[in-house]
Amino acid sequence: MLMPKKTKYRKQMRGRRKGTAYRGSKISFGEFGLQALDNDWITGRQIEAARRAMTRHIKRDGRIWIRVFPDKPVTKIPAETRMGKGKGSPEYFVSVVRKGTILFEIADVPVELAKEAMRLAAHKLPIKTKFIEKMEIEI
Amino acid sequence: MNTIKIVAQERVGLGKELTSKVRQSGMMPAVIYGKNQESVSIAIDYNEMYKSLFKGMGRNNIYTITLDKKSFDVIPYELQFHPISREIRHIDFKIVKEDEKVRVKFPIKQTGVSIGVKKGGKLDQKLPSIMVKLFPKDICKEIVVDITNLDQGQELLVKDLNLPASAEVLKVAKTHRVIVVSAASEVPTAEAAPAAKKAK
Repeated sequence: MLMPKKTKYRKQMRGRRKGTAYRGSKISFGEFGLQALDNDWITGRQIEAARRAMTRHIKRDGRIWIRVFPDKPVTKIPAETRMGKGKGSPEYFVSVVRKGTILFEIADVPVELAKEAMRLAAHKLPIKTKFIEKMEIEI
Repeated sequence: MNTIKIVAQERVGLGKELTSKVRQSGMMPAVIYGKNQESVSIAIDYNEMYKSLFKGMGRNNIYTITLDKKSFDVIPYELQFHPISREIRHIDFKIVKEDEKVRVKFPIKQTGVSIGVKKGGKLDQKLPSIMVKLFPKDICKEIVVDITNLDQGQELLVKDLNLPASAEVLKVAKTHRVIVVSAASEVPTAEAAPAAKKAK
């Protein structure tokens, strides 16, 4: 599962997730991509589940790129605990995804196979997504 | 190479509000600039430009833009896209002169099936495009590479590309690999790549 090796600070503020992604919104490495259409946090587990779904469908052929990294720690207060006494302890890491972000890229597979692999991957994610192909003009 | 003619209107006001009004009226905001030349903000027909970019020669082409009584020979230098709708938002046109080299990015396309792939090898294109500096008369749509004779373990380098005569390669070395054909067992697969990361 993707997570940082070490972090400078253990806990972070939640921040805001509105707006559109302009960075990371083009297909840079592969031929096909899965683009986010909502703003949300995506956990390391969800990214890993999506990657596995894709990899298994393309039968370990082709190449896959993961364009997001879960670098934001999320804390949680334990169950049945009285309120107060400070912030909870870090539980998992998330990636802040804004609409327009390319989440995954695939290359060296036929378009139908890539589309189906991305569809299976999209079912593991908490957001709406769109399958896109690289535009030659974007190069 | 064909020259495409486009009629443009000068944009009087600038800013977010006026630019969005230009887009709503079916036009596309653009700018023309060049060496020792003042930049001019223009508006061009969206559909006309879209067709010539996507269905014509692509972005590597010379356009003649007519603005009032003046005309400019330009190339599309920088394109801005909307991240979701992928519409073209804005184009930068750079004025070209016959005796001055201009920076162009060519997509690299393959033709044929390599011998190595027929034997079960895997073809990997390491460089999808190449940036070069050349005279405007030598601009072409793309660089086509014949890969029929590439066997397993062989590679095609930048110096092997069939570039136009005046082209100077930018950003990459002449020994940079463009296409590599490797035996199937040597290729890192999608499953193997994360495992290799963990091992580190």
